[in-house]
Amino acid sequence: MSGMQTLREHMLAFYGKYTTAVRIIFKFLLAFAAFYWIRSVIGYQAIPSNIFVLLVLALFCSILTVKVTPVICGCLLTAQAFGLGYEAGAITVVIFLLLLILFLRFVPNDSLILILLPMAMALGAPEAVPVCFGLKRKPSSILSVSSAVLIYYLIDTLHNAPAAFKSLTDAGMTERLGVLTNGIFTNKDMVLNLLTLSAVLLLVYAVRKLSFNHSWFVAVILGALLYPLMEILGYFVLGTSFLPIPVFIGTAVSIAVALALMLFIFDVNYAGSESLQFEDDDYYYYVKAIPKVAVKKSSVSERVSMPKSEAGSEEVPSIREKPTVVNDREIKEKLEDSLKNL
Amino acid sequence: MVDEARMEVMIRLAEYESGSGKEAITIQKYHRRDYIALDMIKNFFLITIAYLLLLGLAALVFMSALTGSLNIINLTAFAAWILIGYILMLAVFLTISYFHASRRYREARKSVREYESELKKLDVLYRRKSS
Repeated sequence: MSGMQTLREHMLAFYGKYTTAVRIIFKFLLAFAAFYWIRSVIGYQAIPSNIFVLLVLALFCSILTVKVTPVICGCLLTAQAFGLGYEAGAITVVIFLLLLILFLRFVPNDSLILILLPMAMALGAPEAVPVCFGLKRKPSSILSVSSAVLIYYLIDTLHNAPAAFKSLTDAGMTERLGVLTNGIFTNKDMVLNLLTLSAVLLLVYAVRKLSFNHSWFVAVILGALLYPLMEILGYFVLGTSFLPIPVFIGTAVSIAVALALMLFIFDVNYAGSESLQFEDDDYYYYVKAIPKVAVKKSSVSERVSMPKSEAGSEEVPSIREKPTVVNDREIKEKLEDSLKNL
Repeated sequence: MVDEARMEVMIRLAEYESGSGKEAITIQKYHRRDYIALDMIKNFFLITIAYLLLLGLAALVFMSALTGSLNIINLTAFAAWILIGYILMLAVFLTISYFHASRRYREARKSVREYESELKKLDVLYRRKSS
């Protein structure tokens, strides 16, 4: 475990040193992955499917705020839908307008959910996204989760539409519109996924807010297990599709991803937790103080300086910093100081 | 010579003005009631558009059922249901909009107050320098 924490320190140090470059590369890769996925699933138009165009757009996204990426994804999706036919394009525009007016303007900072969840669903690990975002976001993020699920099924319907159109005896515009709207709105899998993934996010949020030890870990496990459970229920009750092996692999991947994220955002030492009780004129205070896991910085510095000395280059003295020792008395003193200021 | 304390405050102020503060400062130009009322008027039109779009989509989804039973449908009752749906949707979303707008206004006021206290701090630093 301490190896993981040392790795985390290295990664944080690296991020701190090259913040701008890391952010630009991350945004570029994210945008390009999303654009490329749209192209590979519904590449009906030549220009929005051109790799050079996608690279240029991803470059734009890399220097702009991450909120721009879902907007460009939406434009690409609409353009590809118009390649399938005017009715498909119109349905796509209407659905995007509805999502924007009814849901997305209330959660303007959830762009990452809109980009990541449809891709995670395509990769077979949809619960990874609500589990991870349940650890950091508020319950209002279910609006973004619901929108992302709807967008995934819109893309899926557009992907299957050419085959469905071929099966039509009279392929007029009305019939084609009917095929598209039925494919999206009467899809039991969509309803099940929409409810399940929203429930996963709410469950993770609710459990991690509880004050018992290891609540975050329990939240991740419960959230990730809720998805296969609901899929099994859906299979028996609603008759939805259920493939056990991919679903359980997806759950394992989701747990691994969420635990890796937890290492960065909530790494605490429960063994050192303390429960304090005190009062002032107005309130009684019940405080639970849990120390963060501290990695001795000297061990990180030593490891960083090792390869240079082994290579025979000029010996670089290792930077030995005073190790940060979490002292119980220090915590108490700090708490008492802060309480005096209440 | 550069005054480091003043520079720190100015950096914080500039970051706020160009980042999260841009919207908060605009919101704070309105009175609370005006801001919420404007937001709700905007939402009224947006929700009306959304309802019309939803009706269009619903018509497409249930097109075959509708065309089959067009003769036996009671048009007055049908229109009444559509109107009730519209009123319900307006009520739900305008309530959400009200709470959303008042929360945004509250958060904006809090952050602008912090910004103003930083401005006062900067003013004090300037006065100290000139005296």
